[in-house]
Amino acid sequence: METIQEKEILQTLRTQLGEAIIRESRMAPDRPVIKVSKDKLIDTLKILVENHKARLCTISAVDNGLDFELIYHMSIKGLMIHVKTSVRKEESKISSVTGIIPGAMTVEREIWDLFQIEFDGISDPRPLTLPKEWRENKKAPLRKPMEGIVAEYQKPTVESLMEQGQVFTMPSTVKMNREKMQLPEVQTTMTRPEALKEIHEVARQVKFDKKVGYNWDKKKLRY
Amino acid sequence: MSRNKEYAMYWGCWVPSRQPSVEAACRKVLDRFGIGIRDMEGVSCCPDPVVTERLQREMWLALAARNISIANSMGMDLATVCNGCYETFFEAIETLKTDNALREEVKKVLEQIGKPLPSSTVLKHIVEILGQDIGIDEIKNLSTNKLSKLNVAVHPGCHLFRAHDREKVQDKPKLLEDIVDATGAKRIDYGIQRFCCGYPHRVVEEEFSLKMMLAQKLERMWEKDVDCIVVSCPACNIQFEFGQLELKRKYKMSFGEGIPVVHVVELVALALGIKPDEFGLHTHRGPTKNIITKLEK
Repeated sequence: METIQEKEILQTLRTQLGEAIIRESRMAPDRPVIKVSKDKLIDTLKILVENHKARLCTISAVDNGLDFELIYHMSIKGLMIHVKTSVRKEESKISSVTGIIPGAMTVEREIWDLFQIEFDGISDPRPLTLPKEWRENKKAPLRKPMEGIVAEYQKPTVESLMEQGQVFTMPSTVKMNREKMQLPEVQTTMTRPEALKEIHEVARQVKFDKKVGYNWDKKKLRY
Repeated sequence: MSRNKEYAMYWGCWVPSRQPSVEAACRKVLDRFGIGIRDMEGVSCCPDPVVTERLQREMWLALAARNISIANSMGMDLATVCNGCYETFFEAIETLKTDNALREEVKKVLEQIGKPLPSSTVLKHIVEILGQDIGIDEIKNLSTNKLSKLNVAVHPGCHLFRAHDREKVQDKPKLLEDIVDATGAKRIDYGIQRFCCGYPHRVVEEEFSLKMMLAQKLERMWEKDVDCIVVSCPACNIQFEFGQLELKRKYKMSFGEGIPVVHVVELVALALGIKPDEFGLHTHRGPTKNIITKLEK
């Protein structure tokens, strides 16, 4: 059940962050979760620390294959609020929160060691749990390979579907053969950009792009 | 001859970009029988009933619904020459009828791109158009170039067995056999017609697909001395044609010069006396020239 204290805190966050809140959920009935983009993480924690005297209990890091999820577990007079954010594996970098919560340093150093996520602006970046030379020479022990839900053999199908709305390109020999046979021009998404836009809109609407980990700029899967 | 019937023709991905001879043969055959077809503008992949559907059903269904909606907007029944596309559209139409939650979700997605949810849609496989709209007797009557010298192995393909009623699962495969008979070709029973060609397995485990599935079928056909394989699906066609090349290259398994493969519309085209060059029979990767040699003997 939502207490008066919890209601006030969540309302402050909603008022001050507005659309920066990506999602609200609950880890348990009395444990609200706020998801924000990593650019808004410091602002969010600042509101909790400065307005509500929140204390950081710890930070959890989860490797989801394509992205890391960082969860900042904040305690406010017995109430737990969890602030989540995502870090793309290609970047593996996020701002350190030690500027507002100095005690976060040991946890950030440990996560850096184990997951190879760099905390930008941390005052003491030395390894904490691993030998000094580990970061340069060895893989972080808890970091998984970059992987998504699309298996290797499915990748050409998915990339082609996203790039042209069809799962095969048309080789030049086939184009020539079609001309010789006097077949009409193909009228699919392959040749109709406005139709391809609709396919992309559908992919965004159903979040297919996110689910498969599609990079719109590179027109490829991220892995 | 006009049958006053016109279809929104969905060619799919395989046929236009890999097997244009199937498209050319289909256009000529349907024209000969007075069946009109109109190409569907702006369609995407159906999408395929293996990869996309397994990855995300919402994406698969929304794209299928969009394609069906295009046929609806043309005011025509939807036709396809591919078993896989048939499977996708069949399943999508059923899902939109029976799954309220998914239908509502797809409706919202389609609204975003200015397309309505498809309404009642009649879906036809080319086998049904040939066997029912045109009719077996009509094909038999117009078959000027009797193919009686040709021993053929029919491979219906798994998705051709898709039907609303359990009693009707054999209807389309039976129609396919009847069409082949009507062309005058001699249909050879090789015992494992129903067995899958292995195409869907190929993307997962190529060796299994080629040696344990495709080669099993080819060996039985080869033992029966067939001149060609007749399919109703471009994916099966690719599996038989490229699969034979791969079996030879990787596993030293060969069947003479290779057994040629044709789509049923190409067989009908030959039976009607349409010249092989007119629909590009030579563009197949398999030795389709052997079919012509056999017929000219």
